[in-house]
Amino acid sequence: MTSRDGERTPMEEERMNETIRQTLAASRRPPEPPLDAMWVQIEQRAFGNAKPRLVLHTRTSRWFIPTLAAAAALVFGVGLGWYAAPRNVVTQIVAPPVATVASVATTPASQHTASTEAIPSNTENAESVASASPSQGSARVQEAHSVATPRSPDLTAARLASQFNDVGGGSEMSRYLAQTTLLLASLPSGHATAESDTAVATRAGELLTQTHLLLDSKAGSDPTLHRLLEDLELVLAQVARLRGQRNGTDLQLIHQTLTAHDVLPRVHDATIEASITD
Amino acid sequence: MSEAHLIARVLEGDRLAGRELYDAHAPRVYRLAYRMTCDEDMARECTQDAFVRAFSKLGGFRQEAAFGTWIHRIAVSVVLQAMRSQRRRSARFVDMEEAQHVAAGDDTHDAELASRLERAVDELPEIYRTPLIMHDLEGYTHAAIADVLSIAEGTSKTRVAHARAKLRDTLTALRDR
Repeated sequence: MTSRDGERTPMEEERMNETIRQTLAASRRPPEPPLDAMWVQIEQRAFGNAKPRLVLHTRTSRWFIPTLAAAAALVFGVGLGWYAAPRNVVTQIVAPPVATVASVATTPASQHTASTEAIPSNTENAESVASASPSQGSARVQEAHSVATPRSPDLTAARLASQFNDVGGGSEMSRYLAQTTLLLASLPSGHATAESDTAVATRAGELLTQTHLLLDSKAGSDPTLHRLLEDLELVLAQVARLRGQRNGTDLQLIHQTLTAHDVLPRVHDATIEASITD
Repeated sequence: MSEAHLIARVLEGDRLAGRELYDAHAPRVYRLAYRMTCDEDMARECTQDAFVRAFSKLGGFRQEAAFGTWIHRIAVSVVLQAMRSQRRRSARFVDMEEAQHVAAGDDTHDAELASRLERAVDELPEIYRTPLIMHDLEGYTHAAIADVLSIAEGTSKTRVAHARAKLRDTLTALRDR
């Protein structure tokens, strides 16, 4: 490093040093350190703090969380069984539990006909349990079995699809995950009709919109949840395209995505996590 | 509460003790990181990384040196690594307002001077730049610099003198124009 210091007096050098110091001190003046913000990160990383919490609404009642977790686990189990089983026995696997549920929570006699054609809601079912008399029971069980027979395979999907809107009371994320689980567990079988496809596809479209919103929300900033939401985005986009006129490969692709990305087990984990966070 | 006691508590997982240590040293670490990088985000990240590293390696800290020296040593290392891997020269800026504020009453303190000096500091080899910033801008003693950079005190003095000489040449060249 060469210097022209030989031409300057010590006093002159000192004055120049001071000029340099002042100039650099001004141009590199540090801002106020964001102590609290930095500490949050440090604490999380150094002390193994809890994972970033999902920002969720907390109007959930105490009993809802374990109920939701149990329901999600149940639906998850059904869903897992559904897509793990060979395609030609799907209807038989799904049908019995639905028949059991339906035998307890069937609709009043006046609504029987409608129940085989229209999509009944959970609320109606719950009310019918409270009002049903024992004498009506056997007829309803028979009716329920007829509902769950392989002759009407789409009804299972239709019933589950009808429940999407009834999963409520929890936080936004919990509700979303429960609804998505229901949707994925009730994907139409190979024999589905255009109507059931449309019902499920419409619901998938709604959930897809919700997925986009969640991806952009604070909850979506959690890396694990973000990846799950991205995978769900892909699956839901595929489901939303089911519009009756489809071939076998559509469903096959959906199931491949579900299997390849372990979507259902991850949704299950996220549901539990969200219910804890609530 | 002594620093040794705080460290013992941090090792037991006491976050409040960790926060106390952090509060005592973070402002200075952040200032130094900012002076070295001239980048707010980078300074913040480096400060965080330095403390995370310090807390995770606290078990191996023998307390032969003060915690302050140790955390500064880690911080300088983190900053230098970050600067090497991310040459964010473009992010370095001259605060024109500040420069003009200093310029009041003295023609040499203008924006161009600040800009040229900044560039000259950036062009200094790392071994000269770090002691210069620590000593002339942040007021560390040569003994402290020697501790942090693991060099002899005399070496620190020599390097600061070299850096200053280079910057004086820049200043002279600017005046001679």
